[in-house]
Amino acid sequence: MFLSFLIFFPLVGVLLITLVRDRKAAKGIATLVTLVEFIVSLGILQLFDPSQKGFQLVLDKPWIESFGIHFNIGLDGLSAVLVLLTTLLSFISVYCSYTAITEREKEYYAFLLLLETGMLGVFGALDLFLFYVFWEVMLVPMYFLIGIWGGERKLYAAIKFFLYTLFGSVLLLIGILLIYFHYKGVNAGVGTFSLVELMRSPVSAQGEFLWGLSQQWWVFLLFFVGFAIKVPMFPFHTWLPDAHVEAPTAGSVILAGVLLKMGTYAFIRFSLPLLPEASVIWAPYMVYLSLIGIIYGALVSLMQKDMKKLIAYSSVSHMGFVTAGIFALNHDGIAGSIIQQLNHGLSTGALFLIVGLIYERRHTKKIAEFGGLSQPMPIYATLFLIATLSSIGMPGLNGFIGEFTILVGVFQISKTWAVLASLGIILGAAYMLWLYQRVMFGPCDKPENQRVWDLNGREILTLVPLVILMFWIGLYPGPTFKMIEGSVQTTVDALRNANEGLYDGYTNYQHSSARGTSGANR
Amino acid sequence: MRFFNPTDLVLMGPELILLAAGFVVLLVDLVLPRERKQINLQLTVLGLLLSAAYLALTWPKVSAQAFSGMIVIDAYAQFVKLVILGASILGVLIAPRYLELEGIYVGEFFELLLFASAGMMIMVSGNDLLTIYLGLELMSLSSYVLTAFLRNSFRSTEAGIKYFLLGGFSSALLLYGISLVYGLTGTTELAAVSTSLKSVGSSPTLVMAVILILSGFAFKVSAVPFHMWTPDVYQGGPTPVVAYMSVGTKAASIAAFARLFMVGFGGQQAEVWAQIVAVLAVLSMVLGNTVAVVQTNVKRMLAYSTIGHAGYMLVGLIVAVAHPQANGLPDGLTALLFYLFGYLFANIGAFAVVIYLGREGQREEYEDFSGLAQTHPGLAAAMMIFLLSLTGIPPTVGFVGKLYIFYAAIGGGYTTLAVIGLLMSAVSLYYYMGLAMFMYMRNPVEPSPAFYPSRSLTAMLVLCAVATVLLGIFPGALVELARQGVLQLVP
Repeated sequence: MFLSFLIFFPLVGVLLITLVRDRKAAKGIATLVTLVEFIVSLGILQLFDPSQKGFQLVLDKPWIESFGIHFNIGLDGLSAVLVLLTTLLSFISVYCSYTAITEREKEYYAFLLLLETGMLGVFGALDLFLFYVFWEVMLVPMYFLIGIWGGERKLYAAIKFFLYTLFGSVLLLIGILLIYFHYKGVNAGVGTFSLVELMRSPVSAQGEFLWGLSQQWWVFLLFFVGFAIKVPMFPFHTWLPDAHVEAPTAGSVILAGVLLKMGTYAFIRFSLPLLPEASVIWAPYMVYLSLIGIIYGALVSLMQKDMKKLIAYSSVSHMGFVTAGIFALNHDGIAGSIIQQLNHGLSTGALFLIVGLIYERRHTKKIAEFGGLSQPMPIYATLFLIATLSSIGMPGLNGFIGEFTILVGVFQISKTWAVLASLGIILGAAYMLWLYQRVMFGPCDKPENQRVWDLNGREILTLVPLVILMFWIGLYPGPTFKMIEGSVQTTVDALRNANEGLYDGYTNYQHSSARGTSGANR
Repeated sequence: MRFFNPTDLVLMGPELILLAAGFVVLLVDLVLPRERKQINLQLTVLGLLLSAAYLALTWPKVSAQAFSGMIVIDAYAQFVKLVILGASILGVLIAPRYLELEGIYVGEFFELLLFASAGMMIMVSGNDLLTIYLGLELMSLSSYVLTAFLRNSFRSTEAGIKYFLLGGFSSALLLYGISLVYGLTGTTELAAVSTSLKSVGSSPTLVMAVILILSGFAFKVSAVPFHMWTPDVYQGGPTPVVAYMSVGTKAASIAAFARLFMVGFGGQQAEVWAQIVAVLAVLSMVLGNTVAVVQTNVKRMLAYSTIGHAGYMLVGLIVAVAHPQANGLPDGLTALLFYLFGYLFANIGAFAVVIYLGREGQREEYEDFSGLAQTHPGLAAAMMIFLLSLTGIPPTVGFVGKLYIFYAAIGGGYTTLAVIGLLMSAVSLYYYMGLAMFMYMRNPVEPSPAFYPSRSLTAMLVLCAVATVLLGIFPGALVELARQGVLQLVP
């Protein structure tokens, strides 16, 4: 019940907004709804028991009986953390849009609330069909947010985003159906879309996994395209710069803060537990793509002249870290990647807010237009610096915790890979610090720059929660790690159980050509 | 052999009610004064509702035959008749203002529509090749005239002539195919044909017959390469007629021919047949969706989208006929029936929005939809729901329908078809959202043109929109109903 309330409460807000006439009232309703949503979602911290593995706050009602589709929702550590991130960022994105959006506000806030329902549904769904429904539903409000309130090339960016992601979703659907039918075949004709059921895959009399590698291989590929587009992994990332740059500030915050996490969440939730052997076979290639993403994303960021585009490409780089962590397929890698997902949401969300704030004042995002802004805007400069350091991975802030843990995980698999990944950290420092220097330091010689005003109370309030969390995770990450421990352990167990003998201890995996496939040697 | 049983008439109740209503409207219209012409509409709706009520009250538990086996009344036929009646009622109720503005608010319009519906229903219930042909011709001839109904419109007349000529030709092909089957088997009753064909085995004549019958059928369903009439007819014909036909003709044709192939040919030549229809399906899906991308006229775009949807339906048909017992459940046919029902609401809803905007039939271009979200937010939202359903995005019935069809396809082993279908659905997003873009992301044209809705149009729009979303979230009951119907067809 609690979880259903969380997922569907924003729809109440949408309904109320359609009924009021006044724009201010719409703003008020949206703020109230998202604030209530966030406060209620804090109840997860109370209700969730980190010592239990498996899903909690579960609701399971039959929905479309004939196919074995259930309305099945529940949380584990991974989704709980992401749900909290979502509710927080939704509130912040509503709160930061007050002055940024000046036309058709009612629809804007309605779409934001619709989006929140979609996102929470994706994280909460435990039934593959339900997951897919929410995954698709989420696209529509985002399309409108970019296309109506976006920048210059908003129409192009919006349809590109929608088409690209839908293409991936369609392949994902085929993968889901293939899983369903395979399971139906080996389970005496009774199919199910339930994740929990599918994870308990049937085992034959000889103790062999009936859900074998050859079937898993194709499904993994299909899932991969669908999820990789969302993450985005190289080379499926080309929609990201356009969508991020052209979206309104709140749109970018949600896009970078939450939507990108859905791809990586889906990898951990679906690809790894349901397709463990294929994951092991594909893992090296995934890490290669991640490494390319890290370094390529960082290099391209270095060259950007537009602030928002720079941060957009930095997202590609950071998410490369996350996927590298996931496909290290060990405890540290996965734990680190979950933490880093949270961190990226906080730091990149903050950075996009920061870009939005300066855009509202100067109506430009070109770095060359700025310089010396720390003089007229000291508070802004402070918050910007904290976000920058968080993004870079400075110890004391959250980014360090995530990146370090991921590197520990990757290092256990291959030292070379870890070294290459850490190159990304160095490059990250390069482009972020250089950005900060060009924008905030130096002489404040342009008259327009001298006239900008510092942050007001509301704007500070949009950034402060994020900053607090950055320090909290950075200085005292223990509770967060404890919360996700259950999911990490479950995932690693699922991988280990399927890949007997491929795991050396709890941390390493090797590829065995005894499996009859061309696995790469590390 | 008795000529016919009085019980046969009772079984044929729905069709007879429609035919009677048609005649009544025709006669009443002669004596009706101008100011009271809405009585035509009321009589028509009354007839349709009576027919639907009769249908619902006499829902068959087992299949029954009438007229010495020429007609079969089973849950399968009745389900499709529900779709047909739904299309008729919606088509009639969205029409009044349009008819008035165009000056065609006459009894003949309603009478032809009622006869076309009756023809569709006979076709669907046909248990004999000639009955199917009879129903098809009744439907077609009425449709030809309805398409050309706007006498003073160049486009409408052209559309009517094209439809008539091409339709007549394809009906002739169909009849030739039927005669070949008769020649081979000595009978036209479906079950007897099936038994007879088993002893005939494979022969060139049989293949020829299958191809000819397929041609006639593919024309009616707008499958490529028999689709050439569709864009012109959809663009030129009166919009309520087009709305009604897009669903009614398709539903009736697909259902009747599914029965023909499943019961009549009974799995003979299934592999060959499936291959041919698979080609038709792929061509339809690909061509329909890709050509729709470049359209600027909404009705023409909807025509090509219809061709694409015909492709999806054909995929369901292939699975149904080639693998009737796949996985122990007749999934393909159930999926098809469900899809038809969902398509009814989304497609007619979309056309209803076009009627809403129309005035003297002039407002059908994409530009005319500019800024609709700001001037008429409710209308734009409704259109958005229909577009989402046609694309196949949750939580609409179109999504569930498409999912079901491709689920059946993958389950039946036709994964390639499913992949192509889903990819083409992604392509279709582009042109559906293209229209949405005009509605939401452009500014309205000044000065804002006046719209002429009628109350029934608005009511039907709301009904279609609500049904599209509700059936998308709670499809269970409809799926069950379709499944029961299919179980009576394929015992």
